[in-house]
Amino acid sequence: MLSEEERATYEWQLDVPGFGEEGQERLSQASVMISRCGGLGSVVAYELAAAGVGKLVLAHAGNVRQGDLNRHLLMTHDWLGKPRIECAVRRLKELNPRLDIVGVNANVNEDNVRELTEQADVIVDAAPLFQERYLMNQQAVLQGKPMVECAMYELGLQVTTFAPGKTACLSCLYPEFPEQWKRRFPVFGAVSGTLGCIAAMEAIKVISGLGSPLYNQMLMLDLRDGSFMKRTIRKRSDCRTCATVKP
Amino acid sequence: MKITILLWGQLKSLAEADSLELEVPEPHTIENAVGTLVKAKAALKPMLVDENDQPQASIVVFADGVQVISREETPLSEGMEITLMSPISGG
Repeated sequence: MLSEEERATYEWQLDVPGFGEEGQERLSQASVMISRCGGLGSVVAYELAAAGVGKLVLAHAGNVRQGDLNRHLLMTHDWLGKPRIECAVRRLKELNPRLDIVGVNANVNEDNVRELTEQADVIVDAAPLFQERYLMNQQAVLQGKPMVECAMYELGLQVTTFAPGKTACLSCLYPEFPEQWKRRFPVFGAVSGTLGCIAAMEAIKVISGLGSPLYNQMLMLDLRDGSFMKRTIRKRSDCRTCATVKP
Repeated sequence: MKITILLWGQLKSLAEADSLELEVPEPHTIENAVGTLVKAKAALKPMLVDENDQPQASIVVFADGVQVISREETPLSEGMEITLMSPISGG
């Protein structure tokens, strides 16, 4: 049951057909894990906080750097040299004081991935390194949890949502480790921001039942010319991650 | 055989093109299409083939919009649209 304050806060989205109070209640009872809170994850977290998700589990190591500020929208100039995760939690709490946040000053790794993902109903993969992405995918499959998978390069962005048992997984999409991907890549904050909004909407749809998540569909959008396309992703019968797991 | 190649990710940037028409000689395979593309767009070579000139396994291929699971078992057909995607991440 929503409180009067919640009804007042979310009245604009409560009017969305197919969402309503039931969708808002599902959102307020849900938890989402996001790794990391950079250009992409910052905006995912901010939009989910604004929409009224109940709990966020955030993982991001390191201190705020000058080079973060073109896109890490939860980071502020006055926090340069201080822990990113503290800045992210502070900004999110300013927006939504009701939000329950677990902020971890570490990136996803083999030691913490299980504990982090176990606290969430939905995982949003916003990590820059494929090692982290594969780790989260493995846990998503093992725990039977949906994972919103988003990526960007230059002015291009792409997003899909994996649902274990229902769709392909990250290893179905990328069976071979992409050795050529580099940690540093060209991007605008407006690109990561656009992608973050789409990814947040995917998480909202998965949690609330609104609309149709991008299951087995990859949306690819090029902001250089505004063109977009969708491609169908297929589950691999020999997938090293999901072929033998029954969630 | 004429096909259309659509490029995504770093491939699009390296080629400085969204798409191109390609005349692929026999055999009409995806591997041969990639080899023909590399000859037409040398800038793509480091991303598309390895040091032995074999197609990079990490490149994702879509044929007429659907992910190709087995390149060997997916023959080209006239007018086919092949999308090549280099895996990208984010952060």
